[in-house]
Amino acid sequence: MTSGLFDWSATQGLVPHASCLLWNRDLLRLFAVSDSVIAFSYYSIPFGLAYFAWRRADLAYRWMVLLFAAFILACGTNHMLDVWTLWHPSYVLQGTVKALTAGISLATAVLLWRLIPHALALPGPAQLAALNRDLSQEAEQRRQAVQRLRVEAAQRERIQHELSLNEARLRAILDTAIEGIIVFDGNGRIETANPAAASMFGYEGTSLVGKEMTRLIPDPGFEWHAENVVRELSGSRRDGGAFPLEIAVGRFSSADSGNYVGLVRDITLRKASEAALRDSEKRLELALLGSDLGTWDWNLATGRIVFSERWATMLGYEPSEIRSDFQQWEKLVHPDDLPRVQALLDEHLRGLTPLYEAEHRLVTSGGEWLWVLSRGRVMEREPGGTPLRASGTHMDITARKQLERRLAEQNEELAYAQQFTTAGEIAAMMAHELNQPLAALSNYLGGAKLRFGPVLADHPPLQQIIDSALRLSDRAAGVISGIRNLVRKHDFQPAWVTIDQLFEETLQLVSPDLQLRRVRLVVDLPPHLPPVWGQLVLLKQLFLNLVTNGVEAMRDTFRSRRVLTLSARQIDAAALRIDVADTGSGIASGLEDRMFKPFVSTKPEGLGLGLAICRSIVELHGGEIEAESVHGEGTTFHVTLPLRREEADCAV
Amino acid sequence: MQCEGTVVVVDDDRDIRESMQWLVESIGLRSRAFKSAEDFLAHPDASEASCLLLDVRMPGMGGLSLLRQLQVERRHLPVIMLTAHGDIPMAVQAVKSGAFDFIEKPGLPEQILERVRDALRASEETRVRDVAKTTFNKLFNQLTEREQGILVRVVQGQSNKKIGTDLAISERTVEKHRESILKKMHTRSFAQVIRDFSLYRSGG
Repeated sequence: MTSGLFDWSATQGLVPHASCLLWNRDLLRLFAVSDSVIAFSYYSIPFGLAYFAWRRADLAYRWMVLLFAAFILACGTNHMLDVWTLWHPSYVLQGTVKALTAGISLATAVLLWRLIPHALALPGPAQLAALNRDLSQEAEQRRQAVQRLRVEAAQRERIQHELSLNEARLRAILDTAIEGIIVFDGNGRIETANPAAASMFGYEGTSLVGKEMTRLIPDPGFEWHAENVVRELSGSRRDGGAFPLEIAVGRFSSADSGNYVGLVRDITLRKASEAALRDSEKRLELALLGSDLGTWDWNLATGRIVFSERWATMLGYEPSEIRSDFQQWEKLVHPDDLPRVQALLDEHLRGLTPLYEAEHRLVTSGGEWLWVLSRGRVMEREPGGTPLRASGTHMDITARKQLERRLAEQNEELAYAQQFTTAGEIAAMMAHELNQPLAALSNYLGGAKLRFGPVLADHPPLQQIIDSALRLSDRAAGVISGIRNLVRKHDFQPAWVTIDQLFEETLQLVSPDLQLRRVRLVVDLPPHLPPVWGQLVLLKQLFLNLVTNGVEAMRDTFRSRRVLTLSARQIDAAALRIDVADTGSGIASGLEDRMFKPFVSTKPEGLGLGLAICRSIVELHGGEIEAESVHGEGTTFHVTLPLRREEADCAV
Repeated sequence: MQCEGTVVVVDDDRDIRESMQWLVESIGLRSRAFKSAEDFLAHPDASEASCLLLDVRMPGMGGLSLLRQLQVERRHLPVIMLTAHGDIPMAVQAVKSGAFDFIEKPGLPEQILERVRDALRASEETRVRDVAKTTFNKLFNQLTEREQGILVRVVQGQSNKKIGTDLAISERTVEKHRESILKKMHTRSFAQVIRDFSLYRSGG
């Protein structure tokens, strides 16, 4: 059924439209011609409209025109089909076209009505004229603007020129800069790099462009968004070698990702010199530590003194306990030393001395006095000479000072002993030299009295004279004895003295002289020698005299032959022998018997008491002294000292 | 009291030597002088000395050394040390080492002579004793072995009977030996023999 309805050619028994007209020829002709004309006209209108719409691209609501075209085309078709149906009853087709036309018509009508308010809003010709006026004004303005643009273009050209000049300048700067300059984007991609940067990282020409910054600086500490911060990082060369660098990054674009410029400096050399400086500072520190020196560094402008840790600990303070100023130092110095030290310091500060050097005491945390050797120098002066900075060292010399004091005490003691023994020796000599003739005198007188008794009995005055002479001789002896007693006080204070100590302390006193005279010293000291009972200072004087004599005796000996030998031996259970041998000229043969006597000397300036004193000291210790001399080969003094205490004691 | 003997002075000082000789000769003594210990030891006449005045302090061999030397040689000679004032310790030591005495120079002449006399007296006593000892020993050595054995037992206080039993001889034979001993020892009393024996023999 449906197939029947849509069978465009189906007639279903209908008759052509001409039948309605009863096949009237005129009527048919009228219908056919009219409808054809209408159709032809209708067909032509859409094309005109389409052409119009096509040409007027600016046409408002063009689609409306096209819709009109479609509507008219559809109407045209209806009239064409009216002609066709006059003879052919294809009413299905005609109906369908009509329905289609109805749809288009309806749509056009509806849309037209909806369009009308909008179409009415479209400007009218007056408005257009006003618009045209406005437009011409605008055109004038635009012309002026173009004029301005031209001026601007000229300016821009000039600026462009300047810019290119600037760029050339910048390029030159970039090319000649010693430091590396790298421009990179927000992703770290390199846009430009100057030759210095390229060569720093081991690249050539522009081969850095496009590379990642992280490849050049793989250091995780590299954060380029933190601008204007100079960082020391590790760079990586093309060959993989690492080197220290310093980089400062600046941002110069407002784009989201930003553009950055980095200034890169290879600091290998600086690092090396810094390391070298650190090394040398370390070495200095070690050297100071090794030599146990404290240091101070005084800024005279601020009055601040930096004391080293050792400076403080030397005095028993914690470094934090020491205030860093001059007053602190002044407070620590011994008040007796302060004026002298200040004067020395002042002299140096005024440039009068090349070096400040002072030995003085400082108080320790425990309240004791520590001797230091303070040395320093002004390191910096103003052009006018005003000192700006001084620094120096402190050395603990307490031990040396103590040693010096001990030596001074020993020397004093020795000097006293020397004086004492010298006076004693002179008295002993006088006593001896006077007592001998007195003894002889008294013997003669006594003998004479006995022999000439009968004669004297007859001559009482002679008897009296001889008695008086005897009495006077006794009185003289008494006076001499008194003098001796006065001088030789019994202050012999013996104690156990080890030979080691005796040798050590004696040699301490003579070694400078031995060195000066180029005398080789040989000490033959067997271990485990028993101590002797005596007074150290006197025994020291004894051996000091003997050694000095030996050195003196080698004055004319060849330097290479000058040997002084000190040896000690235990000769038996009761005695110890110490030999002092020289390689000098020996003792003149006539002198051997007399040389222990006072005032007998081979030296033109000698008092002749040295050996006499030696003998006195040895005898005071209950010992003996002998000399053995070979002319031209040398002299040996043998000193025998008793080992048993009672033997020495009974000598007192 | 009159003394005899030879006083020997050893001193390096000529004035001391000569004045000492002068002094001791004033009381009739003989004297000799040497200027050093070495000279004294070297001189054969030195042996006739009955007393030695010895200076403590001399060049070369000192007085103390000479004293020790004499003792080593067993020459029992009284030695008086001549000392100076300061040599008292040495003098004390000398006395401890066997010196007879010491004189501090200058001593008073009487004191010196007193010491010398004491020394000579001691020396004389020693000499006499030495002579007696020598004589006794000589006589003792002339005894037969049997007689010496009997004498020793007699000195020990053994009876004739016990001696006879011990030596397996008769008492009578012991008597005969005793008579022979007396005859050979030039004495009549056995008491004398016993006393001499203990003086000169037992001490060695």
